Amino acid sequence: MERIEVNVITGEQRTIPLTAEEIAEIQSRPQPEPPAELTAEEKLERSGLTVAELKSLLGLD
Amino acid sequence: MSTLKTTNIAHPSATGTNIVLNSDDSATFSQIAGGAITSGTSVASTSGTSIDFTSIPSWVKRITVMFDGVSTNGGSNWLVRLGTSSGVASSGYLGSGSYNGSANGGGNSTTGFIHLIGGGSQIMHGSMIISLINPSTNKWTQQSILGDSSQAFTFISGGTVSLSGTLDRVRITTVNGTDTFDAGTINILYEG
Repeated sequence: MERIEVNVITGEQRTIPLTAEEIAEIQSRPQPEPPAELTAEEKLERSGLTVAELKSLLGLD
Repeated sequence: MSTLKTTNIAHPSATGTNIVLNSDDSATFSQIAGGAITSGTSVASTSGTSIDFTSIPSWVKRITVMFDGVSTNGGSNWLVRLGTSSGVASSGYLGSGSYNGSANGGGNSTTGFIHLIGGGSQIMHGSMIISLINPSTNKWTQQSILGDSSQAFTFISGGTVSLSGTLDRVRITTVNGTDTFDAGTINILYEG
């Protein structure tokens, strides 16, 4: 693995291999957390439906 | 009144010439410490697990990180981290990122300014603006909007972080640190 380093003053661009310590730190990271799931209430709110409208739609009123 | 005639003006500790006085009555500044927007060097984001922009001058108060068709070879969320001459800060960030489109989601991150790419293969276009809110504590804010040209998703992010010293670098990387950039270009603008 390597990183690209750009010096903004000189414009010099270098490709630098990661050190053993950097690789070890990366390998110790937890896996990315999945994005938060919306609750049922949030999904309903985003759909623009009210609870009463949903009940009516499902024939539950 | 006499006129001082010279061509170059330099600070005693400067490595080069701060100001060159030209024969056509104009002046050339090596850098203007504040008041001007300076472009970095555009870099092809086609390799590497991270891309660092280093040696950002100490007088900078705002940085714009620009993404042009950038993608990675995996689904790990993207991070932008700030750093000093001592290294890149990997903790202490506050904020969140979200994605909006045919599906929606969001999440927080303390390990960097995050863009939740939702596990997909996005091709990102847009900018992140990083601004110095408190010089005495080296505290920075960021706001970012990126659009995906491969799918109809928009990515929004905001956050803050306090650094241990003066900012001099910005790193673009991923949460897992192993996904590799495989397309596009990235550049920064900086201003004081």
